[in-house]
Amino acid sequence: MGAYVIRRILYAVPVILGVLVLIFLLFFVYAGGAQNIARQVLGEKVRKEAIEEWIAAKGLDKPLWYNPRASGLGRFEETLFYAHMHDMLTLNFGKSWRDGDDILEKILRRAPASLSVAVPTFLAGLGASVFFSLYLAFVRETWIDRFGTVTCVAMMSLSILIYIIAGQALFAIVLRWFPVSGYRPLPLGGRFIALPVLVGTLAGLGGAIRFGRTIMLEEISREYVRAARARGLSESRILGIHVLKNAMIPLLTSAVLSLPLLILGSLLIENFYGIPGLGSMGIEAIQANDFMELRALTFITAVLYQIGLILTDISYTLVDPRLRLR
Amino acid sequence: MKGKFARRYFRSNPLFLLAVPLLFGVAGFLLSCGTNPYPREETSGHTYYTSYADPPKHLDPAVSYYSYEATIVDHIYETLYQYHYLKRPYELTPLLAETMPKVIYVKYPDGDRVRYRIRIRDDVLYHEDPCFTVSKEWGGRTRAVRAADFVTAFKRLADPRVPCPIRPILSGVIVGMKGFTEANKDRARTDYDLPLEGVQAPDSRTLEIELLRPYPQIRYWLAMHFTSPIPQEALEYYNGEEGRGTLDRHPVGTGPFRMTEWVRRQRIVLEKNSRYHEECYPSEGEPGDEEAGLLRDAGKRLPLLDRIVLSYEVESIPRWRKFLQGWYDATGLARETFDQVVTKRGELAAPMAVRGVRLHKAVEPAIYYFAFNMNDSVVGGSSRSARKLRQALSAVFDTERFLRIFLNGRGIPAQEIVPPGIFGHQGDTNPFHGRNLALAKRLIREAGYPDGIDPATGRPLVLTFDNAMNNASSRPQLQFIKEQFEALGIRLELRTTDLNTFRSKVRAGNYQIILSGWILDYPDPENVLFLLEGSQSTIPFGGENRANYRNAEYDRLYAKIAEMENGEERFRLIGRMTNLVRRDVPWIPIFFNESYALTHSWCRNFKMAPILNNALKYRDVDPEKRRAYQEKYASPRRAPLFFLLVLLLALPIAGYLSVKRREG
Repeated sequence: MGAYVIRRILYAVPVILGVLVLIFLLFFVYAGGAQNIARQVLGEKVRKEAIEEWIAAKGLDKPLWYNPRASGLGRFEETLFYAHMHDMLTLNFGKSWRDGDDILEKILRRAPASLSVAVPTFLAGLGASVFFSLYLAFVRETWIDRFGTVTCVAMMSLSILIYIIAGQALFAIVLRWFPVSGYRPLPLGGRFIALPVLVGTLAGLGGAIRFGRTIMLEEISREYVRAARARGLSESRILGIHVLKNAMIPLLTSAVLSLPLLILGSLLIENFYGIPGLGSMGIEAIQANDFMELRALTFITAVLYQIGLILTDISYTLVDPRLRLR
Repeated sequence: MKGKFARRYFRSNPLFLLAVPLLFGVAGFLLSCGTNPYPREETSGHTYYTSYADPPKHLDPAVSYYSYEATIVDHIYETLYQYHYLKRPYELTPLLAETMPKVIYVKYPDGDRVRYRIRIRDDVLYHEDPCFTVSKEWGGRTRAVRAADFVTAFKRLADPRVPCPIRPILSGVIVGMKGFTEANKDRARTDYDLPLEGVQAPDSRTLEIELLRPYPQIRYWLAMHFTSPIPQEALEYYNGEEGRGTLDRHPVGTGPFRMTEWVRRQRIVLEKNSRYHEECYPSEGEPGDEEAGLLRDAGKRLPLLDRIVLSYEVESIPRWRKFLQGWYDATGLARETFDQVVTKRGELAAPMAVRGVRLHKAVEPAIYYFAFNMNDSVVGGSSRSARKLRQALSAVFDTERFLRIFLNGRGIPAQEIVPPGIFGHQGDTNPFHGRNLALAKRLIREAGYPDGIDPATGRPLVLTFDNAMNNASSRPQLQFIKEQFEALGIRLELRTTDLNTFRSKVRAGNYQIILSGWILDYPDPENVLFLLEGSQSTIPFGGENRANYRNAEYDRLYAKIAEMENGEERFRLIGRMTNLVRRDVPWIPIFFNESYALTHSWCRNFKMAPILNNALKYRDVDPEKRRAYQEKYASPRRAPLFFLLVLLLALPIAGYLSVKRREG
């Protein structure tokens, strides 16, 4: 398996490099030059002199790819492209353009807020989807199953935005169970996290239950289930122990792939509920045209996604020892 | 048999058995949450709760530039002068200065200069801060403000290592400022012992500022936080070393409030400065203020509030919902909620009035306009034909309809370029403004394009409208603009690009018509009239005159009014400039923006003042009234939770019954 993991990591390298080149093209080439970037960050009313100062201070006065004024390797090294690749690969994300904070520090500071929402959402979502998909499999071919399936399809059809806005309206305005928005770190901030967790869980539940139910029903038709029934095991025991164990591979695949989301948070939920995590950091960076923050977040997303894919492969062997990775 | 099935069903189902205590645990937690978005241990009292959508980037008064930062900075730092809270047009009054400045004209061999002599108050103390040593005289870590602190502040504005956004402006008028910057450019650290010739402190209570030329607008800069006094001790202490941070994060001012908490992207708390110098609530205002209850606290010591809690709220819907629950005392009015709050007649909707909500309106010192490129061969230039064409385009645009459709009527049609509330606003009618189709058609005929037809081609005249309105919501606006201008028989080509391309086009002078806007930095007509001054042309000087309008008469008048004090003569000259702009039409002024705000019944002394950033020191709240409102509109409704619990607990029973039926 060690060789397989190393090979997978090596496959990820060109993907990451490709992402870095794309980031450069998007943020530095397509952005239309240093003058435009400066105006986007500083605003329209800032004087010419201030813009020139800002460009020089941020090192954006270098050429993009090739510096004819330098000599030797400097022609390539004293360029924006080299600086970008070098900074990203050495994890030197630099300082934020909008507030001058160290970006890596900022990411580490804001990650706990994202995790405090994402981890409970992930666990509650996984628990609820397993519970309800088992339940639907248990009551299969009854009116409850049909009603549940239709409800799941309806839940899948709604956009996350509807969940966010309607969830807030229902739970915070009509029922008044939670604060509308806000944040305090745990353990004191449980009431602030409850609503985003509830909404995040509900938003993903329709698809997850339907997926889980399909997997469960597929497993129910297998030989070992018939054998278990013949041995006189109760239906709920068969489902809750034997079927669930075998259904874990596909469930794990979808769960592990959401790992990057766990760390980066959900952009919309965090932004709307005032959670100062990495998702809202991304939105703020977009609004402020802070390319330094955006490129760091994009890079981290790409890396985490690759890690997520590798972990998915590894998790297969953990759940099912019959599988071997080569 | 039936009993056996039921026993097996429930007993062997570990998930259901686990779910029951879990459900009760969750329900108990839900019951304990409630809507209060503030820490429970806090008592509200005379605390003002509001929100901010843009987190401050800088709290250093020399660097902070945006109005959302000023809302915080201007309550912590103070300036020599401030605007009167109630009077309009805006009026400057002394704050840290004893009186208005004494202006002295000084003759030098190389030309005349203007010196402003300002006497500083002697009873103003800084906030208590570890940067000061314990003072026996004042009984704490503080000291009195001295004139030298203003000199330090001006040196910081000139410091090449401080990214001060207004340095280019002040360097052009204050003697020696450019020299100070240059002298420090190549040094490793800025030397604050070097003199700044134009800013001197002859004694601890006298400040002298010397200008290269008459520039009455300097007084407005002296009412902005850039020129707030900075104690040398704070500069030395908050130098970023030994974990002490910088002045950008640790403001040390003299203001009515001091910052006691700043959790990035969560909240900012300002507490009353117990050592605040004597300042009282104004006892006079403009007509109507007394009837509005704005003079009830006349003569009371400021500030009236004990605390200000500003919560970070980036989205407008949660902000609005918290306001409705009584957790925010005041809020702006977002487009999404406008129809709920304001009737078609512009009044407060009945459901809001029942809750005791009040609606406030104010015209902002800002203008939105179409600009013609005066260098263009068709719409530009001073020929009779081009002028008539621009006049026709001005006379055909229906501003009132535009405001009604796209801005919920929040704006005043602009008949001129100086906004209302600013000295020099003429308040008369522009003959070429507003929809007058007959006049517009006559003008375009006189321009040589009868019914909009270009005689050179025999086809409708084609004009281009460059814009960066590339999102879906802007499309109806673009369509409206197109229809308005095309009513003349011409064809308007919409050239929609991304913002960068648009900017590049404007900078290169490669356009015919654009839509633009300007927010005034200070309430002086010079700050908007300069946008049409010749030496400010984008082509070739790279300035803010995007229309590239050049009119010798206008420039001459501008040079005069820029150096004049307000008075009849200045008003008359601005009137002449206004008429020149109306005749030449380098711009079609569209509207002056109007902002709306909502407050609850417990808010006192709320008057909108878009130019002022220190208004919270005048405001107050009635905490009892607020508590009663929150009881009514924000207490949890618990009954549906029990209903939900019953529903969830019924799941296994329903499952049991349906499986039983399935299995016959």
